[in-house]
Formats: sequence, C-alpha cells, structure tokens
Amino acid sequence: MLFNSYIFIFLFLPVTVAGWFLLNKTKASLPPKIFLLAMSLVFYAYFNIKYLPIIVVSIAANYLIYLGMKRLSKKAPRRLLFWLGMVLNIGILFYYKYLGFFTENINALFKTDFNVVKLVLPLGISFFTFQQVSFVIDSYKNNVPDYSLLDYALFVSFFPQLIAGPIVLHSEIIPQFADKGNKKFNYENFAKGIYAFTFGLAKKVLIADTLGNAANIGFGSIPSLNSVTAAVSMLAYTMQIYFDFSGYCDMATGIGLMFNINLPMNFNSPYKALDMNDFWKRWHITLTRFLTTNLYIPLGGNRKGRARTYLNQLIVFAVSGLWHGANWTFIVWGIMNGVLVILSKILSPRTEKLKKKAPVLPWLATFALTNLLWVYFRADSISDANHMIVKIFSMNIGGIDRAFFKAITTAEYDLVSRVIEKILPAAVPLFGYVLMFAMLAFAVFASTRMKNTNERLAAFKPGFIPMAVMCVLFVWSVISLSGVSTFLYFNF
Amino acid sequence: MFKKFCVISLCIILAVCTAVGGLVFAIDPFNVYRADSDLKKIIYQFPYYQNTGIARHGKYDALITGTSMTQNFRAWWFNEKFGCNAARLSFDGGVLQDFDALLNCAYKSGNEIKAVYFGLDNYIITSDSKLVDIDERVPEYLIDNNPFNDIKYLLNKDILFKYIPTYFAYRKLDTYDFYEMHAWDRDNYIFSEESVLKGYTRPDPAPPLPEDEFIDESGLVLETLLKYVREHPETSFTFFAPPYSKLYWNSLRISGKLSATVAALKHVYGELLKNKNVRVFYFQNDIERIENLDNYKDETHYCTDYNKYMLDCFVSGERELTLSNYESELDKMEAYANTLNI
Repeated sequence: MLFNSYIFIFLFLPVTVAGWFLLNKTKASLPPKIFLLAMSLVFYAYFNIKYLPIIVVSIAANYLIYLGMKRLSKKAPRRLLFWLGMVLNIGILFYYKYLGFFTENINALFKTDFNVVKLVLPLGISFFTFQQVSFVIDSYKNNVPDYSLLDYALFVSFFPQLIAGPIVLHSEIIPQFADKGNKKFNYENFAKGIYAFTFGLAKKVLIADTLGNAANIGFGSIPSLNSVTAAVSMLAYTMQIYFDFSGYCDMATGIGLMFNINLPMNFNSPYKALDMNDFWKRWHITLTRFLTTNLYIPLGGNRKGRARTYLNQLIVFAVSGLWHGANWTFIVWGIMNGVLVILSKILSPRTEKLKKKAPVLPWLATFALTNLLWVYFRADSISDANHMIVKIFSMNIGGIDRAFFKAITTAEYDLVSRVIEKILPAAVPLFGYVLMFAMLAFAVFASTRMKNTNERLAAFKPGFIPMAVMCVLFVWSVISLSGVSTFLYFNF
Repeated sequence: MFKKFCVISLCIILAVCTAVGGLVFAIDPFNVYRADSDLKKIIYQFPYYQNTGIARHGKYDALITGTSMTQNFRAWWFNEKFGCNAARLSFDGGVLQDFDALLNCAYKSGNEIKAVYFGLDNYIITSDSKLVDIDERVPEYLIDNNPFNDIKYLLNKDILFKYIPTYFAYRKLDTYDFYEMHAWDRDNYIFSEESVLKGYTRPDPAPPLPEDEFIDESGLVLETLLKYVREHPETSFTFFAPPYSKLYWNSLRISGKLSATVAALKHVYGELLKNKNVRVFYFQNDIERIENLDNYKDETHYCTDYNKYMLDCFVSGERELTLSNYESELDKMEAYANTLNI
C-alpha cells in the first residue's frame, strides 16, 4: 500500500488509528499491539502477498537469535549467534538484491556463463535488514533490554517506517509503545501528524512526481539533449529525489505522530548545506547514523591515523552507494561522495571564513556538486551519466525540448491556460515555459530557503493560516493521486 | 485549540472532497454512471476512458470497434446502410483486454445488439496482451462493479481541471458532432507516397520465426472473441482485417514474422468462420490499393475512402472469406509479401 493512495488515506489510516486508540482504552496491552502488528503486515502484504513470509521469517529468526544471545553467557556461542544473525540478514539482502548484479560481474570478469537470477526485490528489505542488523549488534553488546516477540515484531514492522525508513533503533521505538502516556489519543500530536503528513504528501505528489516526469524525459533521451535541457533535467531530478524521499519521510513522521510515536528526523534541509560533509549530516540522517555506528566505528573510525580515517570513510560511502542499488552507478556515486566529503574536511579550516563571510559561494559549489553527483545516481549506466555530464558542459545552448516541457504540463496547466487563452491568447505558448521555470524555481527555493517540515512542526501553532494551507494542500494532493508514480526509494 | 484544529480541518477536507466527488458524479464526463440515450448528445472526449461507459449506458443496436484503423468510420454511414443505430467505439492502439472490456460492458447494457463490426488488426492476434502494462489498458475502476475504486474517478485532478471544463466547452459548441469525434482524418495528415517513404524504417533482417510462434497469442484472442460469438447468436459479428500498405508486409517479411503471422491469422479466421453468426472480410490482399502508397499516411493507416469501400463490401460480400477460401487467400497474401524487397 502506498501512503499516497486513496485506500491508505481514506480507509487504512483512519481504521488503524481508530482501532489502535479504541483497543488501548481496554487497558489490556496485548490487543492493541496485536492489532497494530496485524495492520502493519496487511500494509506490507498489500503490495505483494509473496513478500510477507520473507519479513515474518526474518523477524522470527532475528528474535530467536536475540533470545539465544540473551540466555547464553559464554562469549564463543554468543559470537556464533552474532555471526549467524549477520549472515542471515546480509545473506537475505544479498540474495534478493545483489545476486543478479554479482553474477553479472563475475560473468563479465571471468568470461563465465552463470545464470543471472533477476528476483523481484521485496519492498523495504534494505530498511528492515539494517534495522535488524543494528538490533543483532546491540544484542551482542548486551545493549537490549527484555523485549517480547510482539514488541520486537512491532518495532520492525510498524508501518510508517517499514518500507522506506527512517531506519529506526529499537531503543527509540519500543519504549514509546510501552509508554502509557502514549496510549491515549492526543489532539496536539494528531494535529501535527496530519500537518506533517499533508506536507509530505504534497511534496511527493505535487512536486516530486511532476518534476520526475520531466527528469525521465531528459534521462531517457540523453543523446539528443542540448546543454540547457540536460542541465534542467539534472536539476529536475535533484529536486525530484529530495521532495520524493523527504516527502515520504514527512508522511512517516506525521503518521507516527498520529500514534504518539516520534520517528527520528531523516532530512534536515540537505540542500542548505555549505559543504559535502554538511550535506551528509542533513541527508538520510538515519542511514548515516547506522553506517557510522555499525561500520565506520568498528573499522577504526578516526582512531587509526588520518589515512585510515579517510579509507574508512571511503568504505562507508561505497557501502552506502551499494545499499542504494545493485549497480555500479550507485557505487561510483557513493565513492565520489566519499571523496568530496574527505576533501571538504581537509579544506574545512580554509573554508570556514568564507562560509561566514560569503556563504552563498560554498553553498553554490555544494549545490552544484550535489546536482552533478545525482546524475550518476539517476542514470542507467556510468557511460550514460558521463554522457549526460558531457552534454551539460558541451555549451550547446538551445531551447528546451518540447517533450520535456510537455511532461510537466499537468491538469492545472490546462485549467490556467484556458483562462489565459481568453485574456491574452498570445501568452499561452509562453505560459508553459513560465510554469516550468516557476516550478523549478519554487522547488529550489523551498528546498534551500524555506523551513523544512520538522522545523514547521517545532513551530506549529494551530491557527487559521496553517489550517487553510493544510486543507488546500491535502485536497489538492488527494485529487492528484490517480496515476501517481511509486516512491523512488522503494527499490533501494 | 488542537482539538478544534483537528475537527474543523477534517470537516473542511471531507466537505471539499465530497463536493468535488459530487460534482464529478453529477457531470460524469466519462459516462461511468450514465449516458444520454441519444448518442449524438454524448460529449465524446477521450475514447480510452469513455468507450466502456458509453457501451454500458448508451442506447445503440450496432457496435463498430477496433483500433485507429476503424476511427475514420462514421457511425451514421452504418445507420444509413443498415438501418441501425450504431456506436463507433474504437481504441486507438487498443489491446485485447480493452475490446474484451468493451464487449463485456456492451452485453451487460441491456441493449439488443444486432451487429458488431470489429477491425481485427494483425497485432492484436500476434501480441502477448498479458504483457501490456496495466497503465496502458482501460482502467479497472471504469469497468468493474466495485463502487469503492470509483474514488479514482471522483477525486481526480485531471477529470476536475481538464475534462469537466472541456465537457462544457464542447457542449457550448454549435459544431459539435458525436460522429466526427476522434476520426483522425480530420487532423490534416498528408496521404502521399513521399511522406510515407520518408517515415519508413526498414527493420533489421531476422531469421523466420517458427509457424506456431503466435499460437498462444492467437489462442487467447480466439478464446476471448468466441466467448461473445457463442453466447450471442442473435448478434451478427463482422470481423475484418484492415489493409496495411505493402511496406508493412515488407517489414514483416524482413523481420522474419511473415509465416508465423499468416499462420496465426489462418488459425483465428478458420475458427471464427466455423460460427454461423460470423463473417470475416479480408482487405489485406487488395494488392492494387496496398501498393499505392498515396492511399496512406504511414505504413499502415489508410485514407477514409477505403473505409467507405469496406462498408460497401460488407453489403456486397466482396472480399469476404469463407471456410473454403480463407487459406488460399492468405497463402496468396504470403506469396505476394515474399516478392517484396523495398
């Protein structure tokens, strides 16, 4: 089930919220949790019922490993269970996500002819795998209190964060479910919840999907692009991926709040970053947290000298790239990010003054680099990405392709152009271009200058203006749902 | 304060959504709930979304359908020739599931359908329609009886901002004519050998496919069509093969699909012809016409004069296949195509 679907908004969400609080009124702790777990699994199975056993088996196996480690006191068998947990989680992820890619590369490298298995990726597997890996690591470190199977299963499958994060920790979710104060319906949290959900929905449906159509045109016809269309396609994708993923996380935050559960912030206006290191402190924060805690620090972090620190960072970014997708484009994207983060750290003492005196310059440089790196993330192959970059810098100045501009002409465009046609017919052809640039300019402005949803929530006061904005955005987004694309991050 | 905010916001959202849904329901631009009993008064904006609704709620006793090859038929020609009340409901680039949905809706409409004229393109017979993306077919919510998924229609930005204004704009037009809608010959295309050859791309040569290559595809077509043919002996079904230009046959030969396609056509026509209420017309071997590229706007799309000729044939029986001649006619077609090298 998608958050941006009629069935979720008008049926699943109201029923689940109502059921959760009504059952909590009985004071019995089991029925509401069983209900919420069952609804979360329904949410997951709605995409494809075949995925359900994978997550159920994965939850059960990890819980058994946790129980085993809890009961055993000797180091050796605990270590054995720890590695069993690692192999199980990473193994399932590898099998579904990377086996095909791995086989392809083996075939290419050794001229072999192994059968390339193309499996349908179970939704959210990258997210719930990392969540459970972190749980197994904490269990091994004896950092996990007593949890019931129900608590654990609810932590992994809680539907707001199940398929596209944020990657939450057991220590920040399970205690919230246990908190009696959270079991009563809370109007303040509910108001903030629908407010955050609406902003996320609008970001996804109204901005990301529209600009995504334009980016698809550009990335689908690289050989025929001039520099202007190539650059605009790149910018459209930069905006699409931010509004798509952060919009999804805003919706998750909002739904969590409706249940009185605070999910961690995943995006903190990343396009406001003044260097690449800063960017990665703001982009997909819970992934960075996971990789820092469970990979960077175990590798030695910054404790083994400068060279090793940089190497550790490069490894982390390469893994981050690979986590995003089974393609060399993602690995290259990750490594390039790693190199730029290291460079920004090396140059940091020299750029601090500039950041204070003329922040626009480092911001512009960071934003431009981010844009260029997203080309590798979006392109189907490294050669396509290189081709796109060449196109951007080829200085082949020309008009924007008509197909590109048509891709973003939504129903609103039709409606407004009807009005313009009556008032000023000559302006109609121009209006399309104005609309396209206005959309891109608004997206850039909103992501670099406006408050993000978490900042809005912190300052939220119920009043006429937020209510009006919310109602307009909600209805506008809901009527825009038909034919809306799936979330970009579902396949990562 | 927060309680008030929640209650008022939810009430506003529900009220506006209900109003929007109510407006779409009342105007019903895609005829999901109703259609004017006089076909001429139906505002025909978007065949793909509207055909099933018109089929279900419109009043007619003859149906003309097919792909873009049938869009230039005017239903009133049939009315004049056959004294019927025909509806032309074509799907531009339609796939088997679209036609299945249309016929299903038509037979559930309560209309007494005396005749169905079905332009049966070769690609419908040889394509694996199961592979067609769900987004490229008639949406499920338009054809099923599930009232819950109607929300996709009732709360739909495109319907609200685009098709409802267009609906009213058409209604205001004095020149609006249901029969002329979506006939592409009104779009000023150039019919000439020069423009056809300019747009023609010779495919890459490929070895011939096995003759039974399309057996599953043609089997599914037959299963779908025979369901209606057998259940409705009161309807006269006229299937016809549109005449593509020689360039189409040239491409088919070069790409190795010629024999397999002809075998699939034989399979389908042969089975259809076994039914008493079926007639099959074959226009593809009208060599004189298919060789004259001035009759075409591209490899396959012919000019409207040919639609008129087809109608005459339906009356006269010219170019009609029978159980005794269909194989030889198709063999002739294959032999001709094998002589092409363009």
